[in-house]
Amino acid sequence: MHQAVKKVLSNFELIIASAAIIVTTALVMLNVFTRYFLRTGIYWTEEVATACFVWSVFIGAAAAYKHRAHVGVDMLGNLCPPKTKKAITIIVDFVLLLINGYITYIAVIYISLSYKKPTPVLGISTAYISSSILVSFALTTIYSVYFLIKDIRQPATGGTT
Amino acid sequence: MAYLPIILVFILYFSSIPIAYALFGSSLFYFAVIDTSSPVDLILQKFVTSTQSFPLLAIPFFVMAGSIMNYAGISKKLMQFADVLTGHMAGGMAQVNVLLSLLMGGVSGSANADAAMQSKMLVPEMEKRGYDRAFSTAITAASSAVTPVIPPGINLIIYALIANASVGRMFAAGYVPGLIMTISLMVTVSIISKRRGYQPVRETRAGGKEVFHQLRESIWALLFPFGIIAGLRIGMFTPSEAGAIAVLYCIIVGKFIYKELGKEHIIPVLRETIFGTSGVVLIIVSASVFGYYLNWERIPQAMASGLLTITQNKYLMLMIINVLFLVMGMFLEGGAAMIILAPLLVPVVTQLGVDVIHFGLICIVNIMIGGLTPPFGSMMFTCCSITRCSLQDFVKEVIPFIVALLISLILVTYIPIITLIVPNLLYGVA
Amino acid sequence: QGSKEAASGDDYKLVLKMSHVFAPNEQLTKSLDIVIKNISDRTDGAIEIQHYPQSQLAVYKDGVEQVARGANFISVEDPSYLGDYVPDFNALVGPMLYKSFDEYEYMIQTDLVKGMLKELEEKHRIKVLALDYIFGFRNMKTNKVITTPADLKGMKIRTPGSQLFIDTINAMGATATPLGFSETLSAVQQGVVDGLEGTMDAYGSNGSAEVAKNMALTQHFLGTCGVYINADVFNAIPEKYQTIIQEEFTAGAKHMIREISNNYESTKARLEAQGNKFNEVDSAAFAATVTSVYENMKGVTPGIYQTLQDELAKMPK
Ligand code: NA
Ligand code: NA
Repeated sequence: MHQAVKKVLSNFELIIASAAIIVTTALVMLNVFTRYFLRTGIYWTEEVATACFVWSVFIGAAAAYKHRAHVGVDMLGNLCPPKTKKAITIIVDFVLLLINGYITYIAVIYISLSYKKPTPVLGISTAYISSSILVSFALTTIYSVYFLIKDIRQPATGGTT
Repeated sequence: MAYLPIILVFILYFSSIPIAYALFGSSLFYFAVIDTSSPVDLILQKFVTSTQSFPLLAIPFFVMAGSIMNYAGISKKLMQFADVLTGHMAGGMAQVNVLLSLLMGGVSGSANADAAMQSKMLVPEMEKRGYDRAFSTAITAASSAVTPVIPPGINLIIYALIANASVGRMFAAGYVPGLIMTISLMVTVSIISKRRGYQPVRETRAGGKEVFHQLRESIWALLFPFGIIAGLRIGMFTPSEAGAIAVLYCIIVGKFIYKELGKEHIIPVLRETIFGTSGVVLIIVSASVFGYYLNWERIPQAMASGLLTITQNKYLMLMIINVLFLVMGMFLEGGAAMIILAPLLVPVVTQLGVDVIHFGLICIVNIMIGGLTPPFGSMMFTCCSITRCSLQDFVKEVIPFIVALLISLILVTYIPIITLIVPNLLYGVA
Repeated sequence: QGSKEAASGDDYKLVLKMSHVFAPNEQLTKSLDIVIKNISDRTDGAIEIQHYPQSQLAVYKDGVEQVARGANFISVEDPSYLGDYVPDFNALVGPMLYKSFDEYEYMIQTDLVKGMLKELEEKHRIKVLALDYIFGFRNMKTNKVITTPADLKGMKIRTPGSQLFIDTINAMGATATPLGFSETLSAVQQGVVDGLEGTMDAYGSNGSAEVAKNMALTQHFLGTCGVYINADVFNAIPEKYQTIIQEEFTAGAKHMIREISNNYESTKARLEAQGNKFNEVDSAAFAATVTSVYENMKGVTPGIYQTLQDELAKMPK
């Protein structure tokens, strides 16, 4: 595969999240400008800016998940011998897979039943916003499977005995 | 059964599941298994509404501003000026960190936004000057507690609405408690720095000429907070929009005045903004989902009404309420804790002769301290996830600052005039 | 099976959660507290309604969605939120339609509205327990005196983030500026916006009288809330309790209207003493500006504005 294509693919969450946050920032700046200098406002900026922010947060969270960058307390792992540590890692991976998979599942139900609900200002389908949750947790579910398989294959290491 | 998610969340929390997942997991367990009187997928309403919130935009904006400041050389200029003023003091840079939060208090109403920006901007500079990361992270988090107490602040307004109090008086009441918190933190910084030997970066106090020279060098960086305050005062933008204007300001200064900002910085800035924001906001979302469960089961209400029957003594009651708020602040997002608890508590304390405005400040200072403490303090997570400091190290370092803030809280609680002096001067005695 | 057994037994117990956006000190919250207590007393605690004011649980569209989806939930919202299900509800509470509370009370008893309620219940499983928790007419609150649409030209007026409100304020001549309420007061004070709009009750209680000294009595909307419950949830309740619930919510609305009417003059007098001013406006000129709002409503029955006007014309004087 071409190097550039590879780079885009491996960073696609960051690209989507960045695009969304740029739109958010630009819209808020634009609204301040038109309101203060032109004395007229763009009434839909708040709705669109916050909708883009929702996308940025959830897709960005998936990127962070891919890099295993979410904050947690690693207490048990440091206290246990390698074998126990590996077992705990696998259980944790499994629980995370369960949570991610479950949120993906309820997101499908939620969107299929609520897509008719219009947004308050523009009156477009709320699915334009809520589907960010589905996309994000579908991605994290895939990464969870990957991490689970990887951690099962990895030999038991680390920890202080 | 109703309390099972609370136990579950601790089990998940200590088995190295990411915090957001511990909170999501246990709340989902509640709505899928324990109380099914509402379809479980509707909990996703809360995922959306708690993210699609305009005031929350302050977080990405200030993270982005902080990141641009680093690349544009604005942080450096700000630090050089700070060095000239405080470089001869032990722990000078940590004092600057505290003072910047006080100043940011006039700009933004969000502790998390302030914490995020300064974690990005000041902590790396402090590390370069020999402070350890956990200490730098801890003082950044602790000082961000001052920001929402100084007006403008969202919590000040929310409380005024709940308690039917004047927003103007509530704003005026924030100044002195905010200053007391600042002073208590600065004293603590000074004690710790002397003991640890955080060395001054220069031998002697800078002379007037040098200060003036550096002032000219750094003027655009210094104008950052003051420019935003001015923009707010002349009605250009709201506090939530201020962050976007901060971003614009930093881009203009970095590109056209300091000429250090270039195209090559776009990707790193965006990357830092996304990573600095999404993890933090995901935790805020998960905490508000968990708060939804607590509220659904009326657990804070039950705790409050249980505690309120204990005594009729005003001072003892205030002590009990402080403890209640501190505990709740550890679990709930600040605004949520206030919306749930204040309506229950205000009638009780006013009956005992506590001033409504005074009580509001007690609540807000309390909630801010809760944001620094484990297990779920939000500023703690914000700072740790941006500076990549471990929670255990953070907790060790933040304890003295929490003690300092608790002393401020006791002063605010038992000396009403601290809160009431400014509103009484401005608006007359109520 | 559960409901059948429960319906015959004496140990029937149902917990319903009720949520809305109003603050604890506002009249709506107080009136609903009385309703809840009466229902609990009269059913010996069998029907327990847990009250969550100030957006503690799902509100607005989310609250109505909880009801439509069959949760044990009571949503208290503006009837325009029913417009997502039966669009004509948007027109029912459209701008400049009513000159008195009585006109609205008359309207909701007409066959027209009864037909809308029937469609809502049969197709969308939303049962309406009341439509008339009226909290007053909404007026303009600014620092400039407003008497005609021309006076609003170039003025930025804060509105809630709702299409109906934005369209109406724009049609009246101002620039609608959606803002969260938590930012509104300081925005008016600093001049980010030039004013806001709302009821007398809110003017006297939420601090807006501190920042906007003048109230122009435009009466552009009748502020009212309905009470909604899922039809299947309601039908599963034993009949004797259904009757009590319906009676109490009806009585609660009457109580609320009485309180709001009584408070109106006293709040106005108190604010006048504090230096706030009130003025009448050219109502006909304002009414002429908002007809376009009805034409632009999505999905409503064609000519609905005229139909509503015709119904009002039939009201006995
Ligand atoms: Na700080
Ligand atoms: Na502030």
